[in-house]
Amino acid sequence: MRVPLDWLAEFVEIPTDVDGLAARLTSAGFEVEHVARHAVADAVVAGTILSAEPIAGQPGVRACRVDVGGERPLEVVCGAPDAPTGRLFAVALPGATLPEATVEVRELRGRRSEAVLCSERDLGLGDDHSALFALDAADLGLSAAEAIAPGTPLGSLLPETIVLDLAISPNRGDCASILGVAREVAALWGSKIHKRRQATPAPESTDEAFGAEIEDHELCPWYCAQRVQAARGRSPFWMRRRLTACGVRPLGATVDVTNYVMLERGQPLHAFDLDRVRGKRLVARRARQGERLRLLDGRDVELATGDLVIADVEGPVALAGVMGGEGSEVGDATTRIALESAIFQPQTVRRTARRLGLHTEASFRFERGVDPSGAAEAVARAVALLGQLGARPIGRLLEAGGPPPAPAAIAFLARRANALLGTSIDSQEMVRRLRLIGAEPGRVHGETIEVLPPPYRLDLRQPADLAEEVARVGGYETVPMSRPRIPTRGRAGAASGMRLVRSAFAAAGFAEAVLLAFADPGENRHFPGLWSDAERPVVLRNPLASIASEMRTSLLPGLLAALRVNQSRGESFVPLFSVATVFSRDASGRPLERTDATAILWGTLPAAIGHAVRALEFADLRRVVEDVFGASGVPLPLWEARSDLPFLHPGRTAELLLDGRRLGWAGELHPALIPTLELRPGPVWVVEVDAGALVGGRKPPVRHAGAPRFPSVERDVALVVEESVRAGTILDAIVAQRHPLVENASLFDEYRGAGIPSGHKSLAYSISYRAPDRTLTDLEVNAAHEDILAKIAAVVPFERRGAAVEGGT
Amino acid sequence: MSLVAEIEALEARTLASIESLSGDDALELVRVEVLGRKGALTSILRGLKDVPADERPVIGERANAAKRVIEERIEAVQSALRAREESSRLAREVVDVTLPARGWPRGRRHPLLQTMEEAIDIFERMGFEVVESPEIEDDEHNFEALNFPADHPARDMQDTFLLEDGRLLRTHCTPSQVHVMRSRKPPLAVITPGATYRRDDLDLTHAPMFHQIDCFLVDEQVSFADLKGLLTEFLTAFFGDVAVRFRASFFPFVEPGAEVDIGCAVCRGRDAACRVCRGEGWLEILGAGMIHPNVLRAVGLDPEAVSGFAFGLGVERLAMLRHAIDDIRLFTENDLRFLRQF
Repeated sequence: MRVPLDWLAEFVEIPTDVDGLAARLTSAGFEVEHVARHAVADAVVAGTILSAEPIAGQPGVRACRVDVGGERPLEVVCGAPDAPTGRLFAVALPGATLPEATVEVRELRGRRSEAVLCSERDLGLGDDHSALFALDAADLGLSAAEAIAPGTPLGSLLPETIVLDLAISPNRGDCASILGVAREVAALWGSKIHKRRQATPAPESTDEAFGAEIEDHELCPWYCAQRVQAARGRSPFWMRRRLTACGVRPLGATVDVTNYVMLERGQPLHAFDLDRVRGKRLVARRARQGERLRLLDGRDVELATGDLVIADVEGPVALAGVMGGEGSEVGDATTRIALESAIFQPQTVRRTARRLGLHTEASFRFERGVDPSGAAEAVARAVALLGQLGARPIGRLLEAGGPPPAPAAIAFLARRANALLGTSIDSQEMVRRLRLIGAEPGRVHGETIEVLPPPYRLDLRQPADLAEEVARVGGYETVPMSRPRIPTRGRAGAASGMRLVRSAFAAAGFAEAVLLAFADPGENRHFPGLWSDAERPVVLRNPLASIASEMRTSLLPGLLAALRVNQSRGESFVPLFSVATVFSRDASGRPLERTDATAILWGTLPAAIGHAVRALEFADLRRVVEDVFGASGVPLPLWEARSDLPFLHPGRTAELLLDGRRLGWAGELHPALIPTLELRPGPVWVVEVDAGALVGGRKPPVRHAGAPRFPSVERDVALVVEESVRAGTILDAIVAQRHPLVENASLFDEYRGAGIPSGHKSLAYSISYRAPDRTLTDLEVNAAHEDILAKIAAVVPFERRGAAVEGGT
Repeated sequence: MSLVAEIEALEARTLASIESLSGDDALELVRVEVLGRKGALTSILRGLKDVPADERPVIGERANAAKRVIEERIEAVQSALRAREESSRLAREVVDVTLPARGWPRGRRHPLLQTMEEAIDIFERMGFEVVESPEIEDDEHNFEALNFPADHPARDMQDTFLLEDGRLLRTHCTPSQVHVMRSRKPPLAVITPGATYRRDDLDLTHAPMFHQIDCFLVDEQVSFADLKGLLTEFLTAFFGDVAVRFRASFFPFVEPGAEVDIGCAVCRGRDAACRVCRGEGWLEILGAGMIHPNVLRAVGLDPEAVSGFAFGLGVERLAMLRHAIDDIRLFTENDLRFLRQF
C-alpha cells in the first residue's frame, strides 16, 4: 500500500519526520519497504504566455514570449498544439533538470529559445504530453485565494510528495487505505482523526425506476447503488497526481473518483454506465451454469456457479469485487452512472480472483475484508467528489440488505493478557491502549471487561488478539524478557544418529552436498533407488516450470548432476555424499519417505609426492562403506554380487546385506550411463544405503571379553580355484564351520599368473587358531587346519598351491 | 712380578687398547679376551692358588676392581659408540616436514547443515527435544489446524506445491506442532529441523526448497516475555553479542505475532549503503509468537489452561549471515570449490 504523506496528513497530524514515522509503523507491523520522494525539478516556474506567433515555414511551432516575472519576457519556441495567451503554464528555465532533458538556451528552428514550456510528461508528473501543463489553483488542489503569479517556483505550488510503501499483512485489510493507515498513526501516537466536512450536492430528482437487489445474501450482505451524472474529461491534476503516486493510472474523471475513494477509504467502488444496464436493475447473484462475461480487460471468461456476479436482466455485467464487464464500461459517451458500493464475502471474491488469475485492487481489499459499516459512507464521499467536478447525484441511494453484524464484544481480562504477555500492565493502561485503536470498553463483570472492537478491525476476535494490540500499541520493546522453565526430556532423536553417518562420510574424505528434492520422471525411471517395484514416484500437480515435476526416488541423480558441475569446472577427484529424504508411494498410494545416505566417487586420487596418481577401485569404495558402517556402530554388511541393477555395472556391483535385509548397494555406475548423463569418462563409484539402517535403535553396550591369555597359531594356505569362485565364498565357508579353535580368517593375497593354470586364480588365506585355556600344540592345529580345508573342499573344489608358509605367534 | 702387579699391568694395557678401538665387535673381543672364561684376567687369577691364603682376598679384590673398571670402560665406550651411530642414523632419516600430506583430501560438512546442527545443539543444551516430521503433509496439518482457513489470503504467504492426491509438500516445519501436540501432553519443548518447500523460483534469495528449524514450548504460564528471553539467549549464543529487535507481525498460527531482527554486524547501522542490511541497520532473522488459541483448540488443548510460544528459523538465512554468502543458489550447486571452504 503506497501512502502519500500529504494525503495522510488530511486525516491525521503527522507527528514526526519520515524516518520516525517509518520506524514506528515498521515496529507496529507495517513494514515500510520503500520511501519514494517525488519533487518537481528546481528552476521550473509559473509563466504567462504573452504572445504566440507561428513561425513561417514551421507548421505547428510557435515563437512565444513568456512572462516569468523577470525584467523582460523570455523567448520560447514551443511545439505544443495550443499555446493560449494570457494563461499560466509551467516553464523550465535554463539549468532545470527534467526527467528526460536538461534545459539550456539554444537555437531551435532558427530562433533563440531561452526556456521550455512543459507538458505534464516533461515534468515527470504524468503521462500527458498532448498539451502544456496549465497552472490553475483549483486543478492543483490549491485554495482559490492562492493566486499564482508569474515567476512562482513550481516547487512551492507542488511541494515534494513523500510516499511510503507499506507491507500490509493479510489480517490488516483495514489498512489498505489512507484512512486505515491514518487510524493506525492516530492509535500509535495517541492523536485524533481529523473530521472532514464535505459539501454534499443536492440530488437531481428522477421518476425513473431503478432497482438494486440481492439474490444471495450470504455472498453479498449489503449492496448500495447511487445514480450520478458522469463527470466528463480528466480528473483534476491533484487527484491524478495522488492516483499516480499510489500506482493507479488515471483513466477519466468518473473512474478516477471511484479509484480515489477506494484508495482513501478502502471501499472498492464500481461505476456502471447506467444507460448500458439493461432492464434498469442490478442484482447480486451467483453465476448460472454456462454464463460468460467479457471483462474490462477484454478477456471473455466462463463463469463458475460459485462466482458472485452483478447481473442486469439479461446477464452478468460484473464479477463482483473483482472486475467489471466491458458491456457496461464507463466511457467518454457515458452521461450517467450507477455507482456501486457493496460488501462481498471475502472467500467468494478470493476463489473467483484466484481461479481466473485476476488479482485487482478491488479483489485485494475484498479478500482481506472491507469495513462492513463503510459502504454508504464511501458512496457519499464519491458523490461529494463528483459534485466538485460538477456531476450531481440522481435520486436517492438505492440499498439492498444492510451492514453485516458488527463484530462481537470480546471478554477481556487484564490478568490473562498480562499472563500471556509476561507483563504487569495495569488494567486502566490496557483499556487506554485499546481505546487508541478504536475499541470500546463496555460492561465490566468482576475482572472481565467486554471490549467491542472497532467495526473495521475484522481481525480482532478473541482475547489474544487484544493482548497483541496492547503490546503493539505499547511497543514490543516494552515487554520484558524472562527465562522459561524448559521441561527437559533428554530424548535423542534419529537426527543425532544421522549426524554420525554424515560425520563418518566426511571423515572418509567426502564433501557433503545439499540437493533440491525434485527429479524429472526420466531420472526417477533410471534411478528407482531402494524402493520396491510396486512403489511409484510422488508427482507434483503444480511444479514450477524451472524444476522437475516429481520428488526424487534416489539421491543419485542429484549427486551425478553435482558431479557434472564439478567435472565441468575442472575437478579431477570428486567425492560427494548426501544424507537426505527420498520419496515414493506404496501400492495403496500412501506417500513414503526414507532417509538415504548416498555417495559418489569419481576421478583419480590426487598425486602425492613420490607416489603416482592412482585410479579409484572397488576396494576404495568398500573401504568407505566399511568406515561409515563402523563409525555408525553397525555390524559390517555382507557383500553379495548383483548383476541385474540396470543403473550399475553388472560385474562390479554388490548388494549390502545385514541379517538377510537389504541395506543398499555399492558398485560402479553403469558405463552406458556415462555418455547419457554427459559425464566425463572413468568409473563413477556409487554407494546407496538406507540411512535408517545405519542409525537403528539403541544398541546394548558392548560386553568386554577379556584379552586372550594363550598364544594363537597362524596357518596360511593358498588355494587354486576357478576364476568364477569368489573370495568371500571360501571365507564364508571357513566362518560357517564355527570351528571352536578358529579365531579369525582373512584373505591376504589374490594371484594370477605363473604357476596358475589359465582360468584359475590363487587365493591365499591366513587362519588363526587359539584356545582360551591352553597353548595349542602343532598336532592340534594341524588337525584343525586339515579339517577346515576338507570342509572347504566340500563347498568349492580347489588345489593347494605349493607348500603353505606356516608360522605362529 | 706379583699377581697384583700383573693385574694392574693388564688393566692399564686393556684400558689403553679400549681407547683405540672404534667398533662394537672389537670391544666385545676385548671383553672376551680379558674377562672371558679363558681370558687374561681369568688366567692371572688361576695363579691365586699358589698365593698364601691371607693374601688372596687382597688380590681377589684387586682383580674384581680391575674387572669392574674394564667392564665399565667397555660399557661407556660402547654406549658412546651407539649414541654416535644413532645420531648419524637419525641424521640420515631426515624428512622434509613441509611436504604435503598423502591420501584423500579431508571431507567437508555442508555449511548449511553445519549451521543447522549448531543451532540444534544450542536448543538441545537449553533442553529442547528434536522431533522429526514428514515432508509430505496434508492440508489439515500444514494449514487448517494452524489457523490458515481455506480461501484466506494468509495462504498466499506460502505458495504451495501440491501433489496429485491433494497432499502437499510442507511449506514450513510447523506441522510438527500439530503432530506432537495431538499425540503427547504438555509440557512440551520441541524443535523440528528439516527441508521445506515453497513455489518460488530459484534466484539470489529464494529457493523452492529450503530448511527451517521450528521450535515450540507449551506449558502452563508460558509468556511472550519468555519468548523474548529465550530467543535473545539463542541469538546471542549463535551470533555472539548482538542487538535483537522484536516487532509486530502476522503469522496465522501465532497471536501475538512478531518478526525478529538482529542488528547488522557488518555496518552496525552506520552505513546507509550497507550491502547486507541495505542501510536499515537491522536484518530479519525469524518469525515468532505465542501459539494461537485456535491452534491450541485444533490440537485439543485448552487455551485457558496452557499457553506456548513458537518460532521458525530459516537455516539458509542464518548460514548466509554467518558466512557472508549473498547467493542462496550456492548451497545447492555443490561446487567443491565452495564446499571446501567450510
